[in-house]
Formats: sequence, C-alpha cells, structure tokens
Amino acid sequence: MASPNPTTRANRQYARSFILTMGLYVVTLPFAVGFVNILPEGDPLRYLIILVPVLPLLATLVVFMRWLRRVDEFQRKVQFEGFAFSMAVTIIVTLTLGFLERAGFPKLDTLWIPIMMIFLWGIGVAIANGRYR
Amino acid sequence: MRNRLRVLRAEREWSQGELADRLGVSRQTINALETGKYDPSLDLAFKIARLFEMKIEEVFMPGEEE
Repeated sequence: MASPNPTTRANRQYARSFILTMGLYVVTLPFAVGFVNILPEGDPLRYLIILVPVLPLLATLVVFMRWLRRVDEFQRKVQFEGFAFSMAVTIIVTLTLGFLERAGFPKLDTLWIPIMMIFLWGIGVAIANGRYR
Repeated sequence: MRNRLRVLRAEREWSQGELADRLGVSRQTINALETGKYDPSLDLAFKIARLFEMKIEEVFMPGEEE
C-alpha cells in the first residue's frame, strides 16, 4: 500500500528504481567489456559498446535527483553535507596525487575516483547523521 | 532555537513515526528537531504549528537548546 507520507513514498520509489537501474548497469557492464574485447582494435563500434553501461548510470542520476527533490528538507541537508565532505576530500586527494605525479609518482587509473567519491559520500552522510542524532 | 515538539507530541501520545507521517517528513527529521540539533525552515515550522493548532511562537522560541 502506498504510504501517505511523501518522504516515505519517495524513499520506497527510490529504492525500487535504484535497484532496477543499478541492476541494469551490473548486467550491461560485463557484456560491454566482453564485446569490446572481441572486436578488433580501432573499430569505432568499441566506443559505442563500452558506453552502453553509461545509459543505466544516467537513469540512476535521474532517479537520484528525483528522490533528492522529493525528500524532506532535513534529509536534503544531510545529503548536502555528505556531498560537501566527499567533494572536499576528493579535491584534496586528487590534487595531492596530481602534485605527486609531477614529482614522478606513477599515474593511477581515473576509474577509482568515482568509487572513492561514492565511498566518501557514504562516510559524509554517516557523519552528518551522527551529528544530528 | 528551542521548541516544545517533544512535549506536544507526548501530550497527544503520538510516536515520532506518527508525527513524521502527519508532517510528511522522516522519523529522523522529527528526532533532529526534538533534540534541537536541527532548526526547521519557516515553511515546516508553520506546518508544525498548524498541526498542533498553535501559534508558531508557542512551539518555537528563540535561544539556545536547553
């Protein structure tokens, strides 16, 4: 039964849609990587196929933004503090590594940056939740 | 800012979840309001006052949390 509370309703719809879009991402990623490895190097189709998992990620973005606009003001504040923490730490870490690379430190794969941002966002939200408890 | 939310809720024998549903917010939001850790927007403050059929200044008072 649909809850009359708009925040509860938004949370439930977000959970359902998030599972769906991230499920699509998890399914399409190995397929895309597998296909790209089959195709010969230089084939322009490789670019197209490797970008397929980005589509469910864009859908997740839409789902997330819709959720953020529908939850209550306090939840938005907690999320904002989580983002601020994540963004600030990511800037410091990536800048530090950039400086180190200038000094000869080995270059790291940029794919770890979004993973780190999501992890830090989670920590930031946990810190904010703890502060307001 | 101080508020009488916990007392007003207790008088009506509502749980935090019940009050949250009546206001359309999460239970965590009610907890943050009651502990004085979070000051609501004017919009939410008016909504709370209206729910308790009181003036806004009868629910919220200026000053530090006790």
